[in-house]
Amino acid sequence: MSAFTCLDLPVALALSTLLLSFGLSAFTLLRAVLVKESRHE
Amino acid sequence: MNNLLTITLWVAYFAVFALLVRKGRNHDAVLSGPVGFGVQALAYVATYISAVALVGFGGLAHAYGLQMLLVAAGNVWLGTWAVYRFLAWPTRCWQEKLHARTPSQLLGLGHGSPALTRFLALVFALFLGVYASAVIKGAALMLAEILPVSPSMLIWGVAVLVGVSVYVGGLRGVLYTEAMQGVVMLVGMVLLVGAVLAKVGGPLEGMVALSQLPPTPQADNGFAALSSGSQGLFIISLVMVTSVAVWAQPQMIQRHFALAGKDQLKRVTPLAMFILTVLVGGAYFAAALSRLILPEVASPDDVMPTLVRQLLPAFALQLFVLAIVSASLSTATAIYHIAVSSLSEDLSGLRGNRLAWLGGIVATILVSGGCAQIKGQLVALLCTTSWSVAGATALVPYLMLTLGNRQHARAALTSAVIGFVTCLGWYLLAYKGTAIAGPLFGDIAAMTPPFFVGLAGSLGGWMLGSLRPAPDAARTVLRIR
Repeated sequence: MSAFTCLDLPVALALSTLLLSFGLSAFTLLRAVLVKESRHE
Repeated sequence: MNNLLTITLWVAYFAVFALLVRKGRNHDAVLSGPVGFGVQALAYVATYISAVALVGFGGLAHAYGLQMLLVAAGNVWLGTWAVYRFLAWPTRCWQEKLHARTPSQLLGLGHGSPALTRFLALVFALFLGVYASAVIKGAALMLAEILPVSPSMLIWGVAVLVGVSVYVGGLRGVLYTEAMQGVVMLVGMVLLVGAVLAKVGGPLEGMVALSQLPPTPQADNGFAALSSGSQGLFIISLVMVTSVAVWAQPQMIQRHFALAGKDQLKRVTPLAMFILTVLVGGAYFAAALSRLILPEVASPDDVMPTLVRQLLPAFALQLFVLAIVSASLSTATAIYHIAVSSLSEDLSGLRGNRLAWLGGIVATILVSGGCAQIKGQLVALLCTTSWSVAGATALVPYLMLTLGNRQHARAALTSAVIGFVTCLGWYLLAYKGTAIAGPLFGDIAAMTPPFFVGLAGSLGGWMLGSLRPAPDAARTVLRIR
């Protein structure tokens, strides 16, 4: 059984939005740091 | 060796705490001035998340399963992203324009109603002052687990520690110590989540195993699904109360006063979301999976401490205790600051001096420390209701000003008073568990969260109060840049 198929829709949505927030915020922060570093160079 | 490490850890923690408090020494005690994006984001999250959210709601995740992730998702998207996207910068612009020093002043000056400032100050001082008792009691009980001192003495010790740090460091000191505590909370939670995932064989395996457990009365559709009926409604109401009522909590509004500029939001928002996702998402996910390790516990509040004792080595356990103490202290310092500034400045309508600030500190220490010592029904009621009552009282006037650019003294005051009365009245007369003579209006009313009733009342109050237009002279034009 796949892990996501054992969740009902509201819980699967909640987990997906949390994963999205984790990935998106990490990416945004990383990009902000990289942009700042490239400006310094 | 272990003892030496433990002592070093605690001494280092309080040494850094004292150093950071001193950073605010030469600043205005009520206003912090701008702070860096890391401090802003960490302080927001540390104020938001108290020990109740980590330990108490962790216990709920054990009972309700993965559906508590709805609360975590609500906190991240509604309680953080939406706040920084729509509310934080308009709040900062209004605060600067009006020269407001506190959230009560922001709303009172914004709507041109000194009575609103005083009314909000009274509500915040009373409810947050007493609510602080529950927060410092939580920290004292956690410290009592590792220190050979009576809980009663520890309560006074924590109350004085928080009071002194707010007196010495003011708001700037509070923000810096909260940022440090946010880091400690993050480290403690990462340790616990890692230990739980290792024990259950990984996140995916844990989810599958959890979904195969038989349903219980609370998780009546199993531990991987939203419950039906009143239990599902309870989870949804928890999402809304913890993610929407937070918008108008004065200690959260005050964090926006420290924004350095609109551009800072581009970094503050993702950092705050990231920390909150790891903290609450991690806490509730791990606590839900903990059912595979601890099938039954005596009380929901025992889940996190038992889990920590079972899974973490001695040093990591100390780190986790520090994380919970940090969660309590960060919320306590934020609440104390609001209660003290309400008492020393907002109620009198005069700019407070050091003596008034000291008087406010002493009063708040006595109220919160004293209330933490007694087991009165009134104290319990004020602690339970504080979050919803503060939200229902201030949310409509706050949104009207910051989002709607609507200013109306009579409407704002009517809205705040009716929001307060209906929310508190619902707790006292209709809501299951807090109604004095049992719920008076039937089963559906008994399950309806008082925050929603207060919010509806507050909106009705605004419409009633705005039947007569506000005089043009009272309006301040503000262009949000």
